[in-house]
Amino acid sequence: MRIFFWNLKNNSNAEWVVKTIQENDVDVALFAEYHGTDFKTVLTDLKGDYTRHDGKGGCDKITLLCRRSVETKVKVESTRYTLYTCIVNDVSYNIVGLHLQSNPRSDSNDRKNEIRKIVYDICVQEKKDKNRKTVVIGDFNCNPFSEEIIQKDAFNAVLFRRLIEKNEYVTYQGTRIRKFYNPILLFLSEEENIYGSFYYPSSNSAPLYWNSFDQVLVRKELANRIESMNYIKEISGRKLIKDIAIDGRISDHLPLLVSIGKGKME
Amino acid sequence: MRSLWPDLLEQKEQEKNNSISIIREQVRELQRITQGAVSAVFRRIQYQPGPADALLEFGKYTSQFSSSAFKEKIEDELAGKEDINDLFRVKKYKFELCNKNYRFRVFVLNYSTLFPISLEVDEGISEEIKYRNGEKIESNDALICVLEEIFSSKKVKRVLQNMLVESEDN
Repeated sequence: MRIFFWNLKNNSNAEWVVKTIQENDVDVALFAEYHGTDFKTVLTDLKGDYTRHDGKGGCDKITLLCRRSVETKVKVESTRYTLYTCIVNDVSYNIVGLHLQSNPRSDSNDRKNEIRKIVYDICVQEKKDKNRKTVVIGDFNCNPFSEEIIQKDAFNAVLFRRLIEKNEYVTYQGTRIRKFYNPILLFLSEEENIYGSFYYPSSNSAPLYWNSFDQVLVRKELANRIESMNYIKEISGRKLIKDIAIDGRISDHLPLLVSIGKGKME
Repeated sequence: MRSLWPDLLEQKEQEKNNSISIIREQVRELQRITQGAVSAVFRRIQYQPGPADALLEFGKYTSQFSSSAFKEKIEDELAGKEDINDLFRVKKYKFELCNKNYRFRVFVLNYSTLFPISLEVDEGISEEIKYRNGEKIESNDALICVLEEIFSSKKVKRVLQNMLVESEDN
């Protein structure tokens, strides 16, 4: 499965959305801040090969396009996230698309509260369908080392695959909690110029400059099936980075593309 | 020494908290007006043991001292008696709209036996009706007012209408 996420900054980006999906052979594409983009045009220009799943109005932060062959159902909606089930090439996934609250209007604790609801809904869905091929993708508005990602009672995500392979659970205050795996460290690279997805030269005392707000987390079942993860830097010859920063005329976020293999079992 | 206890007979009677029965009545009402096409679920968020359910009670981590590591030693004369403090502990109840394939959590009720209580309403709805999440609700009438605003919000109406359309399509 080739899964894609892009925060479109509410710009009119139909042309770039179509080109990115086609160039990257995307199966499932999720978008945040998408209201400036005409998705009717997107679907027309994709020649009817893709369908849109907009839910029932419970979430206006995320929308999803997928190939016609992908069987998609909206299972749970909340303002900040939608939980879908998608069957891609005969493999069934739980996919959560999210756009968490940003600073300075919100803070880490607001995001953690939201994350606990997301994890609750994921646990319910995984138990209901007895399927833990779960992918969480989106704009987390925090970095891979942030408490929201790492903390045991938040996403409980580890940054090294061996940690989840060795033990899928962590015990916290007497309760066993299932981990997520965040593959980002495998793919951030000076050599490949993959620094992050959002450039912000903050004036505070410790600017990070490049942030990886756009991330993907997976359960153990998918941890060793991640073939690639990439922040796309160019669409049809148009560079998305100008000098060292993101060229904000299209979006202030780089698109995230993740390829997940079927694995040996299927 | 004079008695430090208040005059218990003079105490004003507190309003009985009927929030659970008020909300349950609305669950039945939705079932009636949609003729069963859309359901509402109002249920306590229960912690169920087992690894997959470790976070099923997402609110429990707000208290660092709820852990079994801090168990109180019970004296013999208190053993086997119901701890009245349990009545005052906040319990979480979720209120969700759902059909066969889909669910949408409208709010979580932070319930305690006595007022005040509070709601954690879906962010989009709370912004629309200008309800500040966690705001204290002091009476049954105040709860009814907030519920009416929530159920009449554009977002809830949109979700319900889309769920009704889906059920007609099926």
